[in-house]
Amino acid sequence: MDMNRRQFFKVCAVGLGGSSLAALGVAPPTAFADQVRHFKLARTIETRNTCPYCSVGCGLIMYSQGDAAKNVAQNIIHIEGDADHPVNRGTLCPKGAGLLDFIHSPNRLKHPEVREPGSNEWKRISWDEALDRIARLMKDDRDANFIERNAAGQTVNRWLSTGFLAASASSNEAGYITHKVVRSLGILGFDNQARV
Amino acid sequence: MSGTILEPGQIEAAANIPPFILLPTPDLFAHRAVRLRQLAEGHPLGDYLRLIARLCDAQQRLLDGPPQLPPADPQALERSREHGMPPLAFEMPVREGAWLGLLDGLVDDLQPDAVGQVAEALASLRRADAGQRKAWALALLSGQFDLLPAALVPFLGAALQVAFSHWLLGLPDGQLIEREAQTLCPACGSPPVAGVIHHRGKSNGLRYLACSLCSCQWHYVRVKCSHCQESKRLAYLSLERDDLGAARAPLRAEVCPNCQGYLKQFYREFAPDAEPQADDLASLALDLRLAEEGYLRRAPNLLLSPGGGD
Repeated sequence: MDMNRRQFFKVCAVGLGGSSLAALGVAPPTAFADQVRHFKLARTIETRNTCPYCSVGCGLIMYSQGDAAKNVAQNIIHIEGDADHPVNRGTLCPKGAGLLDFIHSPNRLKHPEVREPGSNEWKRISWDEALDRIARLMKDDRDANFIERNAAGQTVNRWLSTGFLAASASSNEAGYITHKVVRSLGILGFDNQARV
Repeated sequence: MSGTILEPGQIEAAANIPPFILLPTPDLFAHRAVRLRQLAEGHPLGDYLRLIARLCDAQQRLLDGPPQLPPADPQALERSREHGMPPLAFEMPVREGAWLGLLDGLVDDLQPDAVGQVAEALASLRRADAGQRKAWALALLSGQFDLLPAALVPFLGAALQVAFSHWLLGLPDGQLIEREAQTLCPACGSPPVAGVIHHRGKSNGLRYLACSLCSCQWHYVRVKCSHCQESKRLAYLSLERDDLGAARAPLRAEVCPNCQGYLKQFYREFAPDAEPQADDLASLALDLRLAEEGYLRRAPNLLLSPGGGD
C-alpha cells in the first residue's frame, strides 16, 4: 500500500505527443499547442478571514487579484461566506453581505484624524502625533484623577475619569493584551462592543 | 452566493452539517456523455471528446446491464473497516479480477463501429490475457501511465470505472466513514480528478473532490492544497477571457506554492453543467499552459494517458 501511495505522487504531465489522443489518432491540429502557449493566465487569491462587524465572528472567503509577491497592489474583488465555517456555514447577514462596498468605500477612514476641543473640523495627523497625543492626554488625566486609596485608607488604584471601548473584531490575543493594558492602568469603565 | 435571499426553512437547513459524501446518480455515465458532446462542439479536441462520449454510452449500458459482478465482499468490507481502509480499496478487487468481464463487455459494445487505431486498441485488449490486463489496470490506478500503452488507457479506465461505480452504488449504508483531511477517495482510495465548488442547497459554496475512479465526491475544506494540505498563499489560475473577469471564471486551478502542484476546480455557480471528468478532458489547454509555468499535475484522468512522460 505504501508503495502505491508513493507512486501516486508521480506527475501526470500532459504532453499531447505521447498521449491517448495521438495513440488513438484523434490528436488536435499541431497549431493547438502553439496557440495555448500564448494564452494569458489570470490569477486570483482566495483567503479566509473573519467578518469584522460583530462578535458572532462569521467566516469569510475573500477573493483578491494582484500578486503581493510581485509588488502589484492587491485588490479585493469578491467576498462570500465561508461554507466550511461552523458558525455561519456560508451565510452572511446584510451587513456582512455588503462588506465589499465597505472595503472600497470612498468614505473609509485610512489615517488618524483629530477634532480638537472647540473645533468643528477633522484634521489629518500622523500616527506618531496621534499616539503621542493619546498618551499625553491619558497621562495628564490619570495624574490628575487617579485614586490610590479610598476613604477607609485601603489601596484601590482606580482611574474613573477615562473609559475604554474595544471592538468586536479583536482576536482572543488582542483581547488579552487590551485587558492587561487597560486594567493595569486602573481603568474600570471598559467594554468590548459586540456590534460595530 | 452572497446575494441570495433566504426562504423560510433555509436557515435551519444551513445550520445542519453538510453531507460528507455525494454519491453519483445511477445515470452518471449517460450524464457525462451528454456533457462531452456538448463540450465537443467546435472544440480543438472535439474528435477525442466524441470518442470518449461514445465510450461513456457503453459504460452506461454496462452499468444498467446490470453488470455480472458480485457485490463487494462483506468480509473484505469488514476487514477494511477494521484497519481504517477505504471499503473498496482498489488493489484487492482489481487483483481478484471480477471486473475483467466488464472489459470484454465494453470491447464488444465498441467494436462494431471502431476503425483504425481504436479498432487496433480494442483488438489488443481482447488478445491480452487476464494477468496482463490486471497488471495494466494496477499500473493505471497507481498513476504509472508509462507502464501501459497509451491507446489502451481510456478503455481499461472505463471498464474499471464501471466496476467501482457499480460497487459504490451497491455499498451497504454506513460503510463510508469521514476522516480528517482526506486527499484520497474515502470509498476506493484513488486520487481526485478535479474539485467542484457547488452552488445549490446544503452544499452551496462547499468544495468536493471528485474521485477519478468511482465518481463519488467527498467534502474537502476549501483553500487547502488537496495534495500536501498547505493552506497558505494558494493561488487560483484561469485562462484569461475577454468576456469574463477572473472572479467569474468557471474553471480555476488551485495552485500550491508549497508542493508546486495544482488541482482544477469547477465553480458550478458559473458553470452549472460542469462534470469533473468531462470538463477536465475539455480543458487540457489549461494543463498545457500551467506546465509551462512549472506547475505539476497530479490528478489522473483514467480516460486519458497524459503522455507527458515523467
